[in-house]
Amino acid sequence: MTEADRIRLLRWTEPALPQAARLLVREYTADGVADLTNVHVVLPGAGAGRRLKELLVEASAEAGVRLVPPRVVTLGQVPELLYTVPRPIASEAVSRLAWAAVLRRAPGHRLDLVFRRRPDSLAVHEWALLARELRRLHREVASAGHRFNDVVEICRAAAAAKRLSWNDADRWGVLSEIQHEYAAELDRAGFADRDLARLEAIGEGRLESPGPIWLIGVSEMPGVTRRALEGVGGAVRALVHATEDVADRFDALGCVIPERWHGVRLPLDEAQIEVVEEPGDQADAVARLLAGLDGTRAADEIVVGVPDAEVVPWIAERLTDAGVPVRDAAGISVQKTAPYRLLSAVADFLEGRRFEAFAALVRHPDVAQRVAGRTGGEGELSRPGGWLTALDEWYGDHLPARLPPAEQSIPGEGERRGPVVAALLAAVDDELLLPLWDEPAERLLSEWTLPVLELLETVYGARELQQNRLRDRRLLRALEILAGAVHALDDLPDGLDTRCTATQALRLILEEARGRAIPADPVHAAVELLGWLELHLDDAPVTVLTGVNEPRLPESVSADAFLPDTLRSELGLVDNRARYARDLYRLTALFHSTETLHLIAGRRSAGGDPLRPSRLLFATDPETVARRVVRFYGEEEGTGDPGAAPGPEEASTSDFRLPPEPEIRLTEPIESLRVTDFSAILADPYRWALERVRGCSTLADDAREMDGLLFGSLAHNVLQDFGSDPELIAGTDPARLRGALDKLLDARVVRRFGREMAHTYPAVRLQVEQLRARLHRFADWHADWIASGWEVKGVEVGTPKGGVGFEVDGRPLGLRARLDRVDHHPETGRWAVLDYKTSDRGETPERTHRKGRGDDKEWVDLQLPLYRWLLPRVTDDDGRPRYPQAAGAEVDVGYVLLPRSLDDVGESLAEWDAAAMEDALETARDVVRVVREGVFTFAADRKPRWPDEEMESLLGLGQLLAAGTEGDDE
Amino acid sequence: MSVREMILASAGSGKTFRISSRIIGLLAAGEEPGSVFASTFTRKAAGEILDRVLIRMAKAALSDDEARELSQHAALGPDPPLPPDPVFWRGVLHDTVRELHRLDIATLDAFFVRAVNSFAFDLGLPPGWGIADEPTADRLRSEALDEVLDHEDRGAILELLRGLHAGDARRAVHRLVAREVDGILDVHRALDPDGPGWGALREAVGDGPKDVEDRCRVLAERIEAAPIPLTKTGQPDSRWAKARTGAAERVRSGDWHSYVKGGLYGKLLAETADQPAEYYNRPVDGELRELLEEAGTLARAEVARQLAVRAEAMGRLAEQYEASFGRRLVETGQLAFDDVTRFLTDRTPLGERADLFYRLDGATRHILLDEFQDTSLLQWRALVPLTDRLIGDAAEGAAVVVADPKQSIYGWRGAAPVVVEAVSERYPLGEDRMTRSWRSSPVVLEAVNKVFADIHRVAAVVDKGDGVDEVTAQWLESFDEHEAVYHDRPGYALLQAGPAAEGGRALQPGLCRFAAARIAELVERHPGHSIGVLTRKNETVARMIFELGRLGVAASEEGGTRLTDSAAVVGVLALLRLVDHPGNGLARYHVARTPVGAAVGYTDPAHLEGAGRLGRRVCRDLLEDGYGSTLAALATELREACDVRERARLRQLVELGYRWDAGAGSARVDDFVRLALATRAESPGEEPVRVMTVHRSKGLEFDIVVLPELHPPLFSSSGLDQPPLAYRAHPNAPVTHAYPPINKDLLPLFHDVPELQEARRQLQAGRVRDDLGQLYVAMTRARHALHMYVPADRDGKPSESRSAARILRETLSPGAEERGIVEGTVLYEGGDPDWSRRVEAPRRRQGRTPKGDHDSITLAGGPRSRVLRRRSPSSEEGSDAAVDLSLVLGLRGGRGLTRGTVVHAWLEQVEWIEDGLPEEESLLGIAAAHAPEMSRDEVRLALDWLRDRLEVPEIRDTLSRAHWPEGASIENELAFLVRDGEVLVEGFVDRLVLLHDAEGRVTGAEVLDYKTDAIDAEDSEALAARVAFYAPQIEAYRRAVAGLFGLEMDAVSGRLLMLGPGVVRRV
Ligand code: SF4
Repeated sequence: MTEADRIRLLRWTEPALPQAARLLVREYTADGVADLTNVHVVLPGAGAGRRLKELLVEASAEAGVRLVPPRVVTLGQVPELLYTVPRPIASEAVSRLAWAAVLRRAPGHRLDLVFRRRPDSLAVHEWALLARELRRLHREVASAGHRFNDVVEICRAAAAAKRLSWNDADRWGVLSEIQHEYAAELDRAGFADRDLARLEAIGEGRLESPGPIWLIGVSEMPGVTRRALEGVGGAVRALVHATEDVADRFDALGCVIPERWHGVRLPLDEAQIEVVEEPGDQADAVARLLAGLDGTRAADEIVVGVPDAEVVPWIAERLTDAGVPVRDAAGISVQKTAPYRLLSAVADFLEGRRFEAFAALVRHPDVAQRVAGRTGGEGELSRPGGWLTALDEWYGDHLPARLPPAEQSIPGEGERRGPVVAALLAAVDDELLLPLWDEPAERLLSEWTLPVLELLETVYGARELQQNRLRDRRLLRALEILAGAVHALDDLPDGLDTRCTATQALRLILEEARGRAIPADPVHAAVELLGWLELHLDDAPVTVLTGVNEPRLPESVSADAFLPDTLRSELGLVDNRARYARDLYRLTALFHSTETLHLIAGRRSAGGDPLRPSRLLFATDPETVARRVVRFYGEEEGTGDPGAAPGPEEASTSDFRLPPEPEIRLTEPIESLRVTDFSAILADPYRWALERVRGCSTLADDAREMDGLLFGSLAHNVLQDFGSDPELIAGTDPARLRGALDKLLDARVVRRFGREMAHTYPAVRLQVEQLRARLHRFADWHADWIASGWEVKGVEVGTPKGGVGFEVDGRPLGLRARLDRVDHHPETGRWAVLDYKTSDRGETPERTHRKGRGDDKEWVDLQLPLYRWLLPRVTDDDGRPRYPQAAGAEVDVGYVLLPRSLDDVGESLAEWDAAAMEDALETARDVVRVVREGVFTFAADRKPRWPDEEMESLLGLGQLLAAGTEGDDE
Repeated sequence: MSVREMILASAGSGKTFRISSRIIGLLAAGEEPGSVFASTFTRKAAGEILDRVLIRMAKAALSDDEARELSQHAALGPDPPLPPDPVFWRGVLHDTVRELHRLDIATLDAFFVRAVNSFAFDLGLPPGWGIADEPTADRLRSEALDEVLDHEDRGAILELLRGLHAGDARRAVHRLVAREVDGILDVHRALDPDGPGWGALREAVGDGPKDVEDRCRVLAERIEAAPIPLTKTGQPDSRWAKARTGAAERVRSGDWHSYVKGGLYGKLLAETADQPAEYYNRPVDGELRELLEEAGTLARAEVARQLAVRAEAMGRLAEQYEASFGRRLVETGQLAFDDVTRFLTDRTPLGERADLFYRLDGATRHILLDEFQDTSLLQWRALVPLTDRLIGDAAEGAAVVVADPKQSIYGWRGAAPVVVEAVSERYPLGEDRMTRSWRSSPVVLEAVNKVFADIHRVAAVVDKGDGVDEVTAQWLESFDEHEAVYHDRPGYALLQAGPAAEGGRALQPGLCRFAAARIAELVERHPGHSIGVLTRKNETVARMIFELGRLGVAASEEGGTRLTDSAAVVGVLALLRLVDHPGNGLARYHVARTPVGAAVGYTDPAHLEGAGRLGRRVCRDLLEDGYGSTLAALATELREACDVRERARLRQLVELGYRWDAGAGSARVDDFVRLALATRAESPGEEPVRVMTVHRSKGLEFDIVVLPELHPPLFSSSGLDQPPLAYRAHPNAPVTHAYPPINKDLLPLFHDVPELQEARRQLQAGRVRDDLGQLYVAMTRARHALHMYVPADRDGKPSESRSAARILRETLSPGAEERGIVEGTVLYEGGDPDWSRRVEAPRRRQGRTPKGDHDSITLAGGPRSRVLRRRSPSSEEGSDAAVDLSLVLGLRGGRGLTRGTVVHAWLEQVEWIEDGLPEEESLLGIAAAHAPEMSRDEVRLALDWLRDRLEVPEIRDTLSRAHWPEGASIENELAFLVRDGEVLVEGFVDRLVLLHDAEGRVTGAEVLDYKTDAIDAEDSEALAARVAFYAPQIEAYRRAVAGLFGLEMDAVSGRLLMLGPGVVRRV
């Protein structure tokens, strides 16, 4: 057959595939049967293949013949049709492990020339990552028909001839050695490398045609495929989508000849091109174009080309919002699926049992359902919301960085939220991860496959999965992909079956599955979003091509670690020049064959970066070039449709009002208040009401060290223990006190953070030491204080239930409080109510209680004055006053400061006179009146004491919390 | 031909024009687009340069006039002249756009990233490295810090911590250190390994005496006893006595700060040669003086000791942190731009590598550097080897450097205007100054000139005696009187007093409110004109937008306003918070009490379980459908409850969701919430008022500029954390001496440590440059009008602190102090407040303004014609029965599958069983081709098994010729492809028996499907279940075959041939 016979033209005045289908049916029809049994049809992409099948059915129906379908393959599968493999081809996993093994063994001084890091300590999957790179390079170079060794020669020759500005032969020499080793490694394992096998078969002329091969719309072809096809000669035919007058721009296999496309002009009409600003505008433009079709087209007649995937989200959003069904032909990447996320969360958790990973793992909906959501589960675990809350709260109390190993107990196991968390952890460990926990911790890769599959079965096995449910189908596809990745490790040859941990094995499996996609399921007719590669052969009558910008269209690559453009040209790999030619051809064919073609170019990316127009827009005469440049960069063109009104006005009032309840009214009167409530109410009664009355408190699990509250609570715990030992509290020997406090602190720390401090954050451990330092100084102070005659008369003195009646307007309101410490000096007869204060700054009572200057001072806190008022009035269990003697006595109130500045540890007493005290009590009465009135109204001008992002957002003031205004130290 | 020039270009003087002229000139001279490398500070600016280059050529290509003009402007020299001809420019343009992808106009960072990427392997970076996003970068830093804190020697770390914090036992550890470490690192990384570094202070001062406390006590007593001046009555002067006691007290307690800062010793320290120290007009001398000085020496030793401990702690922290951070960097490949630049300056600087341009695919010959004053020392170091190659002695490339040291406002981020000098020193460049403004009206420029011309003499700048005037004078060297190109551009300038400041805070709500009211008037008065409100701090931006909003003036933030300004968005975010934290009562309340609650059916905030269930439902939707779709569905639900603006905001949140789906994602919903909180987007609606910090306003211009925040103090650091001090022998030399931050009161103690004093001066100079630059940049953004608001005097007295407000008052309104300034006082006014009557409101290209609603789009209905659903009969197996997961996972009998494949392949060879199986050799060949992974033994076993099965009578019978009427024919592995409604069905029939009539027409058929499942023949229940399971599949085959051969369904039967149990079942 001559070359001319080999090529057949498909008119580009109409789409290629329908013509091709008709041609094939015609060509192979005999006796009422279009028998394409042994025919191979080759298409550039899988999408085109699927469409061709539909068209073949149509064409045969039209022709009234029975269709025996051909084998439809993509270009990448072609070489394997043409030769038989002597040995099994190594799977991707085997191949990558072989690369990794070889890399690991390669002599350092050689490897250094290529990779600076010789990661001896790298884990299996990290080696695999490097191997993946190398394998990609190997495949790419081989696709042009070269071994690395050939590249060495080519580099030398081309550099000598000054076609390359640098002779990279040394690096390629090293790569070549590695490649050599790799081939040997596979050989020993009884496998062949696919790409090398191809080269061998071609080299040895072991090619055989499987029957007729039809190339359809294949406009570019890797060198190795070309050589293979040329090797089988006769049986190959190419259908080229073009007209007679340009036929000479294609080679014998129907691919574009780059040189012949340079300077070719594309007669685009200006009206077909739209220039807009951002991705959102591109989406708007698409929507406008579809709306402009006036309902004359169905969804499956429209396709949107997306050379730049960045615009996909916007188009998806815009069209969905307008009621247009959309399908992203790229499918769903397996990384986004539930089982992939599951394995990845498990891998994270197994690696060191970090709490963060655990929190993420149990929030995975499938784990949540399996572990915690079982009907009939014990207690809290079966209550939705309950156990997550328990976990958050427990975390807040104990700040575990890591969870202890399964056989140890967690901190606070028996208290508060502890039991729920312990049960949750046990459920994860024992029911979910058991197969992975088993000894030994390091196993052969192939030994991990079963446990991993069992894990998947544990989680998904109980679910009833049906093929005819979309979500289930997706899940099943994802499971299949993952199972495939697992099974790839099933039968590894000995040398490649390395020993590793569960995490490493999982990472390797995930790495293996990564990048695979679950094809979009065309359940309903939809506007399809199609990548540039597939667009040319798609036969939708309406095509909108977005993203007509550099460097996606035409694709161009600048700079590469191994294959810069100049070397690519030398190797015969597709280079920028070839890409331009190919894309110009494709766009030209689209232009001619599509009924309606629109091009949209953006001026800016999502990140606001300027975009350049596609060079394809400039494949025209110089004057039009100038006009287009003016269009793209000029001020003349706006967003395309500046007149568009902001849409129907129906609901132009918002039902969203912040705060949602500008007035909170009590339904039940408040009978008692905590002394600490007063400062909050003084700052803003409304925020207080939200918190206290409406239960608006936040909960999160992102603390990485103790906040002021937790730090204070730990300190109080210790001081409480200290106070409850009568001998200690009366002690005057600082050294002994220090020692005692040390022990008490250690005990509390164990109780709170677990026996192994290693399980909490390093910062927490240091905070404990900071606290220790403060306690030591406290010991010194306390010893002095006692030595000076003071006696401690009570610690943690609480008010009775319901509080102590505080008379306001003739009615009592219960005041509740817990006095840290009540001291008495028998000699002077003085009493002192002392509050431990662990805030960093260690402010005096005056500073914390009153704001303002001179005489304008206002009370902002009433804690200490109320303590003083309470002292003679607190009663014991029998209702008798506990400190009757304090009634008429002098009572000091103040802080025992344990601040950051160690020199300031000690008491700080308030110096308020009787008038000030009375003023404070009057202020307290006012507060009580406010509370009694029971109406709390929002006022935007009141400032929060400690701004909290969530609270302020709820109030509609969130925007005032500009970045970087986080609360200060306290 | 090589142009070599340094252009000092003032604001608005057309530097983009100039630099684009140069690029055009090079292109017009026939240089390849790929030979040009131009860099600037932002990607946006880079875009603008390219924009200018192309549009100017395009215009010249279309018009004679433009061609003539361009040929003049672009010519690189007098010879040869460029043809003033559109045809010429068409050619140049055409050649340029053909190579558009090679024209390298970018930021330095982008260029560095590309370079490092080409050498990623050589540098030890992992594949797939990239620029980390903010949260990732934060996490890495936090982990690195954790590692430092995790030191085995806890004592050592504690010592370090206490060292950092002057002995304090602070509560917060991680957060505090994290805040400090960046500043420390900046210095540490610039350290010269040969200098004393963090040990500088100890080296200079040495170790003090040991028994300090004792000495203090003794000294304090002696001071107390020292003689002091007497009054006329012979009594000790009580003021002196008090001061003496104070000094003694401070010495005793070691309160060196107070000791040094005030009182008697303070006087001694402030003493100069012609002004001896005096206290209440009496000299401080004699024994007291000696004692005070002795205590001073002690103070110095003590302070120095503490500072040295701190310096060393800083150094240790930096070292340990750097090690741990560096390791993470190469492990994760998550870099910041600075890290990239540091990689470039690695042991072998990439710029020196011979293969650099080879890997970069570059043919770079000419270099044009814009906004060069914003280049950091680190970047400069990375750049030098490159520039040496391109424009060094031996090279011939063109070099154009454009800079304006006056506009350097990024000193705090490492920008070093000194590189401008460095580049001129290194390469001979012709200097050119551009001072004519194409932007501002003469009125605006007059104000600018008045403010800056003599600024170094302004009392406000000089009256603290700390050398600010010197730096200012230096700064002024690059300032020339500005002149307007458009002499008649109408304009207005105003300096007016607003309410007095409340307290010393930077954010002044009162002043903001005042400015907002003025802006509201401006919007009315100058419709269609753009207004830029420029502030110093981010906080004020938010406050200004808030205050403007209260007045009904829609304003947006440059770079987008945070999505959370929408109630609907925060409502949805509260819902998302619930997902991870159902126990969050605030979020529950927020959801339940806003329309979000109604939309998702959650209205009782006390209902924890309800929240838990809701959360789990949303969580599953997010995972299975993606954030985009889930949020879109929610937005649709909320549609009715939203106004146009809220809807537009929700749409932006939905977009963010789709983008999140497209990215790497994260397991936690919390992370998305965090992202959404930080996300800014153009706020809906056309808003003439833009609010931003001065930093963000760089490169922008507005018809009207409003400056509402001129009062914050200048020349001092505002934050809590003072950076460490670094001394460089020469402005672009490495740091040799590093000191911790030192309170300025204590500095006089070390007047004899010149490096320390100089380091402090260098830091201060940087601040002065930044602050003056900010004022300059802010004022020069204005095209027509400039409105500046300063606080009125409080209690009749102006504030004493140095501020832009004070500078403006003293330069624009000298003598205003005496007049007393109250709210509303006009301090300076120029031009015409109604200037806009004389100009047309400009039409400008607006950014996209998101719209609230879109009409729904109707498409044609009708049956589907393309992109059909695809199905294969085997996927019909038990289509509504539960899928057997162990099969999907290949968990049990995984090998069974391969064996099944081989068995199928063998059976394909059987036409009639009477003819037997093919030769063993050929069977083995088939097995090898279909399942290369099966061992020979396994294959043999399978073959034996098959042979055995084929002996079962029921099976044998079905496969035998005798079983069928005469003329029956067999199709093995018949491929089919048929359309079934909207579905395309594709598959293979294992074995099809065709029955023919006399004419050979097909009259009937039977579909036979082989199954290799292992089932016990006795277990009839299991058998029946299997059969039922496969029934839909056989049904599908029958339908396909009927369609294919034009048969009625009745004429096509189907049977399952179950090899395992050895039974055949009709379906
Ligand atoms: S250790 Fe402390 S925080 Fe933890 S449960 Fe016990 S009391 Fe609560």
